[in-house]
Order: sequence, then structure tokens, then C-alpha cells
Amino acid sequence: MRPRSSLDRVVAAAFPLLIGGLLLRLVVTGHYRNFVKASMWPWLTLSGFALLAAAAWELASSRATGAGHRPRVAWLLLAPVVVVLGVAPTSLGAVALERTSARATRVYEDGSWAKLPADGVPIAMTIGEFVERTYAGDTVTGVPVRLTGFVVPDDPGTGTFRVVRFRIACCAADAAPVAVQVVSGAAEVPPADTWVTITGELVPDDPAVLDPRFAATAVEVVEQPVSPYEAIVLPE
Amino acid sequence: MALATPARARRDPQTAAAVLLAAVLLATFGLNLVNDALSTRPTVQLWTTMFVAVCVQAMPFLVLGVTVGGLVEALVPDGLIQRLLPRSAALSVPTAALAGVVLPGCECSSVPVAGRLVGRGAPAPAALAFLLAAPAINPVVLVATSVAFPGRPEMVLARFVASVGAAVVVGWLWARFASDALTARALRRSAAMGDGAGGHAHADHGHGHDHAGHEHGHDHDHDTTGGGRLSRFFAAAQHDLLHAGGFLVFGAALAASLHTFVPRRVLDRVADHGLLAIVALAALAVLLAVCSEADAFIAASLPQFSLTSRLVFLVVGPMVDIKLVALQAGTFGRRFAVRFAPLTLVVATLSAVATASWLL
Repeated sequence: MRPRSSLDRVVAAAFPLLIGGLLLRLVVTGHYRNFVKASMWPWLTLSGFALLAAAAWELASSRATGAGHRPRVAWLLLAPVVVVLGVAPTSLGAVALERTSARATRVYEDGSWAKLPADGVPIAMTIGEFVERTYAGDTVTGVPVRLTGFVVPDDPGTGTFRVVRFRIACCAADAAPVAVQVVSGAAEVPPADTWVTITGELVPDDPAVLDPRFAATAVEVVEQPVSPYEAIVLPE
Repeated sequence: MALATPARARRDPQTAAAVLLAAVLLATFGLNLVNDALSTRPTVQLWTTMFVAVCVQAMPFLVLGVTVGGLVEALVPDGLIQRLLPRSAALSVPTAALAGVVLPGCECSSVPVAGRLVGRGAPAPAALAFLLAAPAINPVVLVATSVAFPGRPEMVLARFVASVGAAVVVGWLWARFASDALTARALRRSAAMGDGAGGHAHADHGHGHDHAGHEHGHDHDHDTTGGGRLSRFFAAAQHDLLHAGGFLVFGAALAASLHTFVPRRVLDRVADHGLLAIVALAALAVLLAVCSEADAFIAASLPQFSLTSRLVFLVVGPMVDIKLVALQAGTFGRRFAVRFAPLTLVVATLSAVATASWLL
């Protein structure tokens, strides 16, 4: 084995350095929430620093000889770095919805969901919970609610649009959409991917409809929420 | 340290690697310049988001796995394994399988650890049972499974039971039917594999070339000085990270491609047919090659499939997939892998189906 040059050290250190740096950068900028749950930041931070430590050891290590050749597959480790730095992917939006016909709903029995207070004050809830409640009983009939999601316009001319959210169990790769269709109460259809908070009520309907129809009393454009994805809410 | 003359630079793999690294980083910034054109294409948006998501989600688990793998490499004393295992195959196989719970790593860390176990004198069937069970039943994977299937703790139990069952059955079958020549060859290879640590690097990274008859001096004791142990730890962790990380990224790319380019309707159609769904997800587990910490989340993203077929996915994945077969071929030999992989696939599938019919 020939002696290990400083170039060897730099190349060997580059792999953990770049991956660790990527994880930490995603946490610091908040962009990690486009990909994984907001609660992942401790894991990402910890492993980011661990990787930096490994890189530091590679640079400082006093091993006299090289540690054997690097497997070619290791170069793939650079791919996420290249993709994030080069393409800067964003959270899933209207485009992603086109590819999915299915909706992310589980089948609960009627009566699984607790009753909601009926004092006329709009109740904020996730779109997922709202949709699940419409599928299993009538706990949201006549109850004003407030939902937040991004706009996906229907065919032009219909004047209706959907308000959509992606639910994730873990990361964006398992994201599945839930949606309501706003059929009345909006002056005009907002552009696709606009984040809105809609206030209003369910339009009681044929339960076979894919996305529950929603009569809005208010449509307000808002900032994208801290996490673009919804968590799955289970009935108590 | 030799300075790189132009002629040497062309031949020197490390200089070439440095150049390649620089080129990759430059290309990244070049990509950034054309980003506007790229990001308007919907499939690019979708694919890149999903690809990065799987990478980012799985990476902390991978780092955890290689960290513990490195600790095991650095801290477990020689001879301890033999002292702890029962003598007969009937007992040592289940013991070794259950011992897999202590190794929180993906299957990529269990392969070198199992190789070292065989090299230290542990019986091959026991080491193989450990190799199969560890990636599936360690706490990190079980926790990940419970997180990915909220409200379904029976999936965690079923995964544990089915995985241990499959590992034990494969170990027993191997003890009963595997020829001594195959085991002896596997022993020779793993002894030749060496540590990958501190100066005795003898890397045999899955390209199947033969080292028959080349016994590397394996009698050295663990270097018990602090510096030696730290060095072994980092070397083992770095080694595992480079191998497993690369394959993880490959699996993430496959997963992103699957979700982007295969219309969900295709998956939905298969999902309804009981037997076809099981076969399809077993095949998916083999092709997807994602680390066991991350595969629960992939399974969770396929709600249209039955729990049985998804359990098959979870049990088969950590035991046989394309990256794992490559790692096994590199560590134990191509002949070994060709026999071991199909056997494991069949046993794992049957074990998962049997467990599902009982528990799910």
C-alpha cells in the first residue's frame, strides 16, 4: 500500500462531509419539511453532526496506509446533494395530484368519530379528518369548519376548485392526497398551488363522491403553513 | 507523500477520485443554472421531491446503524461469541437469530458483522440466522415500523415473529443441507475479508473475485489501546456508510421512479388480487433494496395492498434484495449467494403469509 496522501483524506472525508452538511443545511433552512415530518429535526441534526465528526476523523486520522478502495456505489451518496443543490425540490403540489386517482382515506365505522360542539364557531381541523368524518357518519353535517390547503382548480369554466393537502405517514414518498371540492362561496378561482384557508360547511351529498363538496363562506389566501403536509389524525 | 506528477495523476486512483469529485460539485452548480428550465417539468418536480425525501428520511437511521456496527467491531472481544453460543445447531440458530435484536442496523451492517462472526469461529448457520434476523427485529426497525403504521401494533409483532421464524428456518435448513465445501469456502472468504480497519484493509467489495487459499493473518488480537479501538470504530463505520449509503440512494431513486412513473392505478389493480399482490410485493421488496429502517415507510405508502402482502414486503426486504445479494456475494462468495438468496426468499414469503394468517 502506498502512503496515504492528503488528497486521499480530502476525498474520503468529502462523502460524510457533504451528506452531513446537506442534512444540517436542510434543517437550518427549514427545507427539510418539504420532505419529511417537522418532528424529524433532532434526528437529522444529530446524524448531521455525526457525519461531520466522521469527516473530521478522516481528515485528521493518522493511518499510514489507505483503507482499501472505495466502492463505486459510494458515489451515489453524492446524488442527493447534487439534486438538492442543483434542482432545489419543493413540497408536493398541484402537479403531484394529477398522478393520483386514489385518495388516502381509511374506512372507519359510523360512530367512530366524537361529536363536535355545535355553537356556530368554526372549528379548525385537518382536511383529512374532515373527509374521514364525512365518510363515517354525519358528525360534520351543519358544523362550520375551517380548513387549510392548496388550490387545484377544476376544469376552466366550472368555477369550482379543490382544496388539497397531502397526508404523510413518514416522508413525502408515501404522501397521499385528501381534498374537498369548493362549489360555492368563492368570488373567483385562485391560481393553482395558492395556499388558502376556507371557512364553511359540508354540502350534504351522495356519499360516493370522491372529494366532499364544500360551501365556503370565506376564502382567505394565507402563507404556506410551517409543514406543507398533514399528519394523520385518528379518531379517539 | 508523493507529489502527483502528470503521468502519475493519470494512473493514480485517488487523484482521479478527487478530480471526479470536483467535477460532480461543479456540475451541481451548473445544474442550478438550468434549474428554471428543469423545475417546470412536473415529473422532475415529483421525482426529485420523492427521491430526496426517502434519502433524508432514511439517512439518520443509516448513520445510527453504522455507528453501532462500528462499536460492535471495535468493542466485542475475541472469543466471546463462541463462549456465548450453545453447541448444537438446533439451539445455536434460534439463539443467534434472537441475538439479532441487539444490532440496530440495516442489513448492510449485519453482513460484515456476520462475516466477522464466521471468521471468529461461530458456526455458519448461526451467523446466517443472525444476519437475516438482525436487520428485521432490532429496536430501530421495530420503532420505525410502529411509527409508519400508527394504530397497528400487531404489524410490529407480526414482523418480529415472521422474521425470526424465517431466520431460524433458513439457519436450520442450512445446517442440515448445506455442503461442507460451501461452508468451508464461505469461512475462507470471510477470514480473508479481514477487518477493513486500521491498516489491514483487505477490501472485497462485492465484485465476486476469488480469494481462495489466500489466508490473511487473522490471528491478531483486537488492539486494546484507545486509539486502536477508535480507529477501528471509525474505519468500520466509514466502510459501512459508503457501502450502505450508496445502495440506499439507489433504492431511493427506484422508489421515487416507482411513485412517479407507475400510475397508481396499475398498483391498485394488482393490490386486489390476493395471491398476485403477495407475489408483487415480494418482488418489489427484492427490487427496491431499501434499508430496513426505511422500508416500513414505503410499505405504509401502499395502503391499497393487504396487510398480508405488506408484511411479506417487510419480511422479505431485509433478507433478500438486490443490494443485499451483492453484499453477500462479495462477502461469502457468488456460489453462496446464488443458493442462499432464493432459499431465503421462499422461506421469508411463506413465513410472512403464515404469520399474517395467524396474527393479522
